[in-house]
Amino acid sequence: MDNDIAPDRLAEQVRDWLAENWRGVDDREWREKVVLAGWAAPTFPENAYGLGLSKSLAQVVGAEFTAVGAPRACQDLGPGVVDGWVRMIGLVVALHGLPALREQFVRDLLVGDADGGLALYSEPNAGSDLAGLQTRAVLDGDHWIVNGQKVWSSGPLDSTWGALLARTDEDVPKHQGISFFIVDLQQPGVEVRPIKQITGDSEFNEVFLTDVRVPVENVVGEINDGWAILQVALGAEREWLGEYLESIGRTEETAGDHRSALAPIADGAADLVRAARRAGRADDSAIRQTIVQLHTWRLVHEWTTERLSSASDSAQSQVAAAALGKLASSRILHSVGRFKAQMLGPEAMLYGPENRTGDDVNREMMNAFTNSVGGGTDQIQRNIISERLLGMPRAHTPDRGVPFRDIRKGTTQRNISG
Amino acid sequence: MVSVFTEEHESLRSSLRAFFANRSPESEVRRLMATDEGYDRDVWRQIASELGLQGLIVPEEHGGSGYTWVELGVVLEEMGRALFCAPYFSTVVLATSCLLESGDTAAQKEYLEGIASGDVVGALAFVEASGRWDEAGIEMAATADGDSYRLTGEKLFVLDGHVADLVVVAARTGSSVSLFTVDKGAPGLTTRLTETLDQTRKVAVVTFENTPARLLGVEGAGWTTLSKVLDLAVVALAAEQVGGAQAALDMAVEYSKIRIQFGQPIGAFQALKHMLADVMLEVESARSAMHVGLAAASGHEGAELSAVAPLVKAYCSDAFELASHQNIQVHGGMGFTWEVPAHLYFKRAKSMAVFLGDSTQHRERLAGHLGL
Ligand SMILES: Cc1cc2nc3c(=O)[nH]c(=O)nc-3n(C[C@H](O)[C@H](O)[C@H](O)COP(=O)(O)OP(=O)(O)OC[C@H]3O[C@@H](n4cnc5c(N)ncnc54)[C@H](O)[C@@H]3O)c2cc1C
Repeated sequence: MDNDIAPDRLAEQVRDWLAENWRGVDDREWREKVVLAGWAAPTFPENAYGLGLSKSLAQVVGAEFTAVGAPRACQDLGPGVVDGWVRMIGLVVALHGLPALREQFVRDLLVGDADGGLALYSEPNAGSDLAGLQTRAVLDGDHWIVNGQKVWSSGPLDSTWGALLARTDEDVPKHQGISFFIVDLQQPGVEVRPIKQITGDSEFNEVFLTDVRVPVENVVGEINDGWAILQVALGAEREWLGEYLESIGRTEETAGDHRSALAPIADGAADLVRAARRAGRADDSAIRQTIVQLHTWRLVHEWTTERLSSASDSAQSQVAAAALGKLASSRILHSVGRFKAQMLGPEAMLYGPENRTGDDVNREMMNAFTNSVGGGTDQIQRNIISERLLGMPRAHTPDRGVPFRDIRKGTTQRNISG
Repeated sequence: MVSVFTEEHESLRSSLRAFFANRSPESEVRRLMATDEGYDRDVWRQIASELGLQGLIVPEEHGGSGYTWVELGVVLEEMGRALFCAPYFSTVVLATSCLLESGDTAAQKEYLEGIASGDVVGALAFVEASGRWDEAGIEMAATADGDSYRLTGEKLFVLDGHVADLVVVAARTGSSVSLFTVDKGAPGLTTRLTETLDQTRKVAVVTFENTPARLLGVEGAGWTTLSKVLDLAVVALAAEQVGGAQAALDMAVEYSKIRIQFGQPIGAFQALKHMLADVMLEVESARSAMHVGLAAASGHEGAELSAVAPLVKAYCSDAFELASHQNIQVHGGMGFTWEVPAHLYFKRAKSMAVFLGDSTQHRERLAGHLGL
């Protein structure tokens, strides 16, 4: 579709299409229709079930679907978990996958046949220094054979597919010998074990890969060019993660928001105001200052993301939007979590299903680390901002330019799941 | 909120940047800050006649170009970046908007053309000994004298009051506040320059001794006008602060690349990288707030000015303080010298942080808007 299309014209087309097709039932037939029409991921290219639309035009599509209560549109923009997979992995396969993979995988993802996935990037000895990963893929005829261990892979135990980073060349510096694959997890040699996390839940796993087979057409991008592919996926992840976590903290609170003529400045602080009211501390000037500071951080974060991600000098602005946005989210999530726990008073000492309030607030408080550690830590974001955006000198690193085979590597063998 | 600036704004920005680099380099800033007047009359006339800067938001019928606060924002951002020494904020932001917001067409006719042409310098005399930036702080009384009024009392922290041809004064008529105009040379009007932390911005004490004054706008409507002017003013100030904060950040980054210690540029040390990454987050956040503020000041659809203004003031003041503070820290001992201009930004940031009310006061205002 043409990006010069007037928003009104586009809205009209969507309305017409909905009038003809939406019957009020979100079944398989409906989902396939939405995907084939391109509404499920309007920003994706036309050869990957998209329409090649800009983000702002795609939002026009989303608004029309929302208006009639029709689901499944604009999964490429949403904050949900499945939207996250579409935005990260769907995107790179749509852009860089071979035709066979693209047509099958992107379709499955958008239709909802592939919503259980794992990002198999991190390893026991490759976290922030992800390019130091040691899982190997060796070519054997028309398949790659994979061996290694992954960790912190978020998603269900019975996930059907994984986005895998593996080393395909040890004789070049670490970033240059990595490839990106889509791998079938329902095969022998794949063992997924849950890890119990700080909250007591198990949302991420350890994954052991032994002689796992990946067909050659499942490589995304060129062989040994996986690092570049990963950057696209990680950039998308950094934007999505903050949106996702913030949407959880605030959803149930939006009803009954204090709305006034001063909107939109006054909107979106209801969870904070309510917490202070319940604690009887809405008149405490220190608490009032805190609430306004937190609310202001939320607002300027939204504004900055919008401003930078719509800027025309896109590449640099996208990096800026992702890294600055992720850092801003960390501060918001940790500070809001701390504030809500404080407002709860001694109840914040409680946890578990019998103590709903304490449980919710403490969970929100702890889950803030998902943003400040996962997807590249806050420190790594600051490295990116200072080196890539401000152009400050790179730190001395002993492994620069050295073939992977020869650099010093961690040798921790961890088995966290026990 | 996407950017309020278009390509035309960016080209205005680059020509202004070139102009200030040429006519207001650091050497000029240092020369002018050491004088009592505090500005160069030739440059003041030049920015009026060649660039039309004083008349930017003055309507065309009064000799201006009738632009909006978005264009003014570009100008102020660049002035803040260059620490341009001139009575621009006092004349264009404070006095001009008092004239425009008062709705007083006679006063507009009398003064705006002179402002636009650069012949009239304006000031706003508002704060008194209490140091309060609100209605309750205005205690000075105006007494009716036939058709006119007489003022007696003292106003403090009057930006460029010592060089003003027109002073807009806030005083009480009965229990409510009214605005007045007083011309330079009026009987009983005296001004005294005070020594300031930020020498690039002059502040005067203005005293009135039975001084004749003319009512500006409607009697008793002074606070309505003034509170709108103050909301506009903090948004305008934010543009200056963002310009200054970005300049301080740029200076820090530059220095971190050239200063060598332990065999490498200090910018390679992560302690400094992370410090400046945090500064960048604040500067970019402040810039976003400024965009939203300028849009509201220009009456664009979206947020209400009276709600945005306190947010913008608090955020941009804090960001400029941080950026100018960390710039000194990055410079080490050099940062503590008079010679390196880091202190100029720091002093501007510090004094503008309390000018028009500090961050906690503005956050408290915003708290009221949140239903607290
Ligand atoms: C909830 C959650 C979900 C996750 N989900 C996934 C997933 O689905 N798939 C996946 O592959 N991974 C996932 N991760 C892993 C995540 O990406 C890593 O935890 C993260 O990149 C940090 O790596 P690490 O844990 O090994 O910490 P380390 O790299 O060991 O870092 C330890 C500390 O050292 C600091 N540090 C490290 N290097 C530097 C440096 N160069 N400069 C300054 N400081 C440095 C870090 O900031 C941190 O404070 C998840 C993590 C979490 C918490």
